[in-house]
Parts: sequence; C-alpha cells; structure tokens
Amino acid sequence: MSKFFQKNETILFLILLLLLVFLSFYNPQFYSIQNINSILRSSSTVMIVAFGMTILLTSGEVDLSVGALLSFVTVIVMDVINISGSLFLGFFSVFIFCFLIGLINGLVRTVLNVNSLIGTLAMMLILQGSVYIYSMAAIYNTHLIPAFTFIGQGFVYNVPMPVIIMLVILPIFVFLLNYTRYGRYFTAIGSNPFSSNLSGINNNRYKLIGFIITSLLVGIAGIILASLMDTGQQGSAKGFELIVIAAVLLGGTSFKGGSGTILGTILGILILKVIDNGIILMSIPQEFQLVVPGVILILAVYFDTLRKEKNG
Amino acid sequence: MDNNFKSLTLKNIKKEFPGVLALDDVSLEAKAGSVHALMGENGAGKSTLIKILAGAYNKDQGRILFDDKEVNIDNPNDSLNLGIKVVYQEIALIPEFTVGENIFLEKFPVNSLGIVNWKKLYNDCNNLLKKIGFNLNVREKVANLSISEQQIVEIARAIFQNASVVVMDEPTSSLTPNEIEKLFEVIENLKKNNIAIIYITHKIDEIFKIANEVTVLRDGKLISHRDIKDTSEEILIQDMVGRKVEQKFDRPVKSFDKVLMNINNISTKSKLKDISFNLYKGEILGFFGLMGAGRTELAKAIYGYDNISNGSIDIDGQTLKKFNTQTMVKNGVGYVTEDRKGEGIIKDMNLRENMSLPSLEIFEKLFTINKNKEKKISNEYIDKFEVKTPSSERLITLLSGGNQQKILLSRWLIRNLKIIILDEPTRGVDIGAKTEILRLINDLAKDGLSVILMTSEMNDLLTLSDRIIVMAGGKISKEFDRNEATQEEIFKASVI
Repeated sequence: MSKFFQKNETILFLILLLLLVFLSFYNPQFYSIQNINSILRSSSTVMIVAFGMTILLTSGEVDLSVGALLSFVTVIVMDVINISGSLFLGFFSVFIFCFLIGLINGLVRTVLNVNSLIGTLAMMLILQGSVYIYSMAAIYNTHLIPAFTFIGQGFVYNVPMPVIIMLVILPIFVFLLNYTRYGRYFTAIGSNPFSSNLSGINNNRYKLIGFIITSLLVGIAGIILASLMDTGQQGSAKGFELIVIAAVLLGGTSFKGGSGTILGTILGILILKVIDNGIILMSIPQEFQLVVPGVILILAVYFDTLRKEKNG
Repeated sequence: MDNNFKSLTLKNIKKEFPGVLALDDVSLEAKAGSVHALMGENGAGKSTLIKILAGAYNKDQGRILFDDKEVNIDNPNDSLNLGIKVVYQEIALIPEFTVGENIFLEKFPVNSLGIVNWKKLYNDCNNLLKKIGFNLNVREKVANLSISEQQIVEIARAIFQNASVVVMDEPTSSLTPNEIEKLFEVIENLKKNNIAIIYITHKIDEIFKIANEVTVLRDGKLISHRDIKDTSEEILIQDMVGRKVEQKFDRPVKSFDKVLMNINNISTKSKLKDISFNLYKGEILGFFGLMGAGRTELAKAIYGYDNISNGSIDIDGQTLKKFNTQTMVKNGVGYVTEDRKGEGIIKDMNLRENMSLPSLEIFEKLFTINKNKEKKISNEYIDKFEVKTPSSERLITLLSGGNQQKILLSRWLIRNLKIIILDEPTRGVDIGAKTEILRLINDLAKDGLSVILMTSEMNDLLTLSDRIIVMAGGKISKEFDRNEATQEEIFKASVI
C-alpha cells in the first residue's frame, strides 16, 4: 500500500481527481459534454507530441523546436492541399518535412555533438524565421475538402476526432516503452550512456530515432491543428514546446533522463489542461493560464527530487 | 586544530533497512592520533556506519560520544561541525578549480567587501600542505593532477575544515605502490596532528603498515576488535569471511591450440602504439601495467568503445577494421568496466533489468520482453553468485560494490559468450567476494571461455593467467608464459 502511494502516477491521479471534484462543485457547467470535449480536444495535440517528448527526455535529450515545427506544419499542409487539391500530397509533404527536421535535429546531436537543448533551440529559431520566408501571410482553407475539416473538428459518437487519433497512437507508445527492449534502451541511454554503449547499444541510433519520432508526431498534431483552425498560421503554436515539456516533467519524467512513463505524461497534461479550463470557468484573468502551470511545474519537480532522495 | 580532542565513540549502533539489518549493535572507538582500520566483506555494514557518521543516514538505536559527551548527528552539517570528515572513494573536487580554490572552497579568505585575498589563500594553502608533509603546486588545476594527488587535496580539505576525525574509504584503490607510500606518509603526519583516522580497506597488507587497531564487521555485526599486534592476516581473513578461504586455484600449465582472436597492430590516437597479440580459446590472458600504461585504453579499443586509428582484429575467421561495441557484442565479446559506478551500473534500473540489458533479444517473444523468463534467469544468477538482496526487483544502487560487480558479471554470463574482457574485476571488492570472482573466472575459462584479464593485483594475475602481457607507455613491453613469470620480472617490464 505504501508503495502504491509512493508512485508518482498515483499522486498525479489524486491531484487530478481533487481538481475535478473542486471544479464540479464550483461550476456545474464543468461536467457538460461540450466542456469535457473541449478539454480533451485541446489536450490531444499536446499528448501526441508529448509521447515523443517522453521518449526523448527519458533518453536524456530534449526537443525545443516542436512548437515552431507545429506552426510550420499548419502552413505547409494548408498550402500544399490548396495548391494540389490532394490530401495525400498535403500529408506526404508534411511527413517528409518533419522527417527531415527530426533527422537534422538528431544528426546535430549525434554527429556534431551539440547539446540538444542548444541544437533544437537553434532549430526553433531557424523554423520560426523560415516559415515567414515561406509565406508572410496566414494561409486560409480554400480547398474546402470536408474530410480535412473532419480531422480536427469532427466527432465520432460524440468523441472528438483528435481524441480518437490520440487514442490510436497511445497504445503504440505504452507498448513501446513498457514491453519492448526499445523502452529499456531509451531508459538505459538516459540513465547511463556509457554503460548502455558498453552493453552493445548504439546510443546515437536510438537518439536519432527519438528525434525523428517526435518530429513525425508533430506532423500529425500539426495537421489536426490546421484543421481545427481552418488556417495555416505562422505563429499558431507559440509556447507549445514549453507546455509539452512542462507536462512531461510534471508526469514524472526526469530532465536528466532515465525515467519516464506515458501514463504519467497523460496525467500531467490532463492536470495542466483542467487547470487551464478552470481558470476560464472561474473567470480568473487569462494571464494566469501561464502562471499557474509554471508554479505547479516547480513544485512537481521539487517533490520528485524529495521522493528520489528518500528512496535513494 | 582542536588539540584537546581525545576520541569519538560509537556505541551499540543499530540501523535497519527494509528487509536488511544493516548494523546490529556495532561499537567503534576512534582515538586521536591513531589509525583505526575497519574491515569487512561487501554488505558487512561499513558504508552504513560511515554514512551514519557523516550524517547521511540516521541511526535507529545507539549513542555517539564525542570526548565522552553524547552528541547527535542528524544531518551532514552536524557531522561537519563536530569535525568529522569523510574522504570518499570517489573524488569530489571541482576539476577546473586550482588546488587552493578547492581546499578553501567553503571558506575563501575575504576582506570586508567580500573580495578574495588570493595571496593569503595560496599562502595558507602552502602551509597546510606542508603540515601534512606534501608538496604540490597550489595554483595547479585539479584536473591536471594524478588521482593520488587529488586524494591528497581531498584530505587537505578535510583538515582545513578543522577535522578531528578523518574517515578514508578505500583510499588506495586507484593508487600505484609509489603513491600509496606517499599517502601513508600523509597519514603519519595526520596522526602527529592529533587527528583520529578511520581507515576502510580491503587490502590486508596495508593494515599492518599503518593501523593501530582493527575492527571487523560481518553481516552488520561486530565480529572482532583487536590491537594490530594481536592479529595476523589469517585471523583477519577468517574474521571477515567466517570460514577459511581457499586461495589456491587448480590451473595447471597447458598449451592451447585454437586461436580465437588476433589483434593486429592496433593503435589509437591518444595512447596505444602498434599492439598485436593472439587470444586462444579457453585461455586466461593477463595484462599488467602501471597507471598510464594503457591497459584500460586497450580494453576499450578492442571492444570498439574507442576508435582505433590503425590495425584490425580477426575474430572467428572474419577481419574487422571498423567496429563498435555492437559489433563486438554480436560477435560474442563482453566487457566489465573498472569504473563500476560511472560506466557499469544503470542506477535507475533494478537488478533484473541491469542484468538483461545486453541480451534482451533472448527474452523476446513477438517484440515483447518475457518478464517471467527474465526474472527466472536473473534469480538463478542471484542464487548462484550468492548476491545479497531480497529480490531481483531491487534497485542496483542499494547493493554493495561487490554485489553490484556480481550482477555486472552476470550481465554477460546469461548470454552466449566467447570472450570476456575484465578490467580490474576485483577492485573495491572484499576478500570473500574476490575469491568467489576469481574462482568464477577460472571456471569460465575451463568451460572454454577466453578471458582477457586486466588487473593490478599481482597475486590474481600470477595465479590465474596462462600468459601475461606487460604494458608500458601504450606498448607491449614483454610477454610471459605461465611457468616463467615472476613478480619481479613482471614489475621490471612494467617500468621500462
């Protein structure tokens, strides 16, 4: 029983429960289908990218360029479909682009040996600048293909489509991290890269894969976002990378690598998003939407350190 | 320095961890101006005792007396305020700071504006080093010092902070014979300065050189406390192990015929120059060399961890010019590092996960790891090597050094191995576990495994190796057969 309460996920779950109870007492509107769907829908793009970020942080790396890439993806997907009228070509070009960015991020880290905090920060600047070279103006949906709009705005049995996409991707990552050797490899690489290399694991290969997976997930999230906004917009995902990283860290993944769970990440995102929603429902000034997660993040990492000290 | 200090006494200390009674009614007295050696196998409770002294752990029961006055040590600060300084095995200095800056780190001499008086700092530092009888350039960066010199800096730091008790945890484990002599001189000087020393080591011969009294722990219990005059090597070993240790190995001289690996003219950019040798199937090939001779570099180059700039390796008929650790693992080579903490264990993983890491594919079924099979096999090895742990699901960091080493050896033994490279496999390991590990190496070779054994323990080298290669300055300086090698000859070849 004591072990049960020491688990990070348990604590996060209790916090989430507490928040839900509190908010439903405060404002019964909280439990309306519309409100819950809006929380889940806005969580799902964060979650999709956070799955990749969990892998990266577990292996001791980080990708700060996901927000800038996300904005870029909305522009590309909208533009290509507008011009070609083909969803396939739109998606194809997004994934090619994301694959290349992930590859470059990974190669900068593994071949040039640039710390990923710096390397992907640089990539963020490059993407933020070059998206304006690509197009100065926002790109509106002129193709009006219904299937495209459905991706972000549609429902299946009252469940928003983005949530369904997220739920399809989720089990793949739970399986990958918990049941396959690759999950162990990412943990080993993050915990002790020397030891994992001496155990015959090619650290760089898996780091490269981690960066590429994360970028590809950004591609999926970007397509959803473009559909949701019905626009390809240059600055549409400002601060996105910070929310993702904050949620993953809140979920118990260590910034120094070596430990991370998908369940924790999901709970971390839900907590942040429910707080977001609560701030709106309680008519607190919206600026607090950034302040509160900041404070929570510091507390979360602090408690995590405390627990580790006690155990270690 | 507090010259009135007489003694620090631990009385009836008890400490329990979940599932393990780490210390059971242990007492110890450290007297000023004297060296008290503390010995025991891995997991005997030495580290726990030290951590209680250092304030890292709290005792469950017992008393601590400082000059007959009862004191509380609840945290590291209490310990430091009493003047207890622990010099750990791992050096904890700031490499980019100078010797002086490191020694005075906690208390830089400053004027009223908070500006550091560098001249005073380095003068004081010189005086301090003179007091313990050591010569060192106080303005040198610590990164440029040898390990033994760094250890001296650690000790100097300890006494600068008004130490009454200095605890040394395996201080000689990475030192050469010369450096050990220097360290002993420093210890003699500490004694003269009325400091009490608690000295933890596995090396019995050292105890007879510097200790005044010796306490032996086993399984958390106090086994014996004797004056150094009243004991002998044999008595100490028996106290530690609880049984007589068989030191002899059955390893007759024999000739091998099947070459398993050829090393052809390997060089690296940093150290190795033109190294060639053969390894036979079932052979134990010993490597000796002083610090800086290039043994570890050779091990890592063969294993594909460091790049080679020249040469090739033939293994099982195929020639490799470019290879990495993956290639080697696939070809049936394993490696156990000398740096257990830095390059061996994975601290976020439990014993099972640490053991299976290079061999996950053998536990795989449809992309999924079969955890039951994994548990079963890791438990087999835990039982076989008598690893002291309640379960395979325990975090590896909670084990003592020798037990961790057994896990790291098992890491390779669970897979199909042809060659194992062991770099200082018995470093920091107690005598009981050491004998077990050496016997294991012998048995493995008998079963046809080829062993490359890098060690600075002359005894292990001579009792186990079928051939001995001596290295000096990144080159092979001499090769001996089993029956022609003597300690003197080997040492002579290593100092060329």
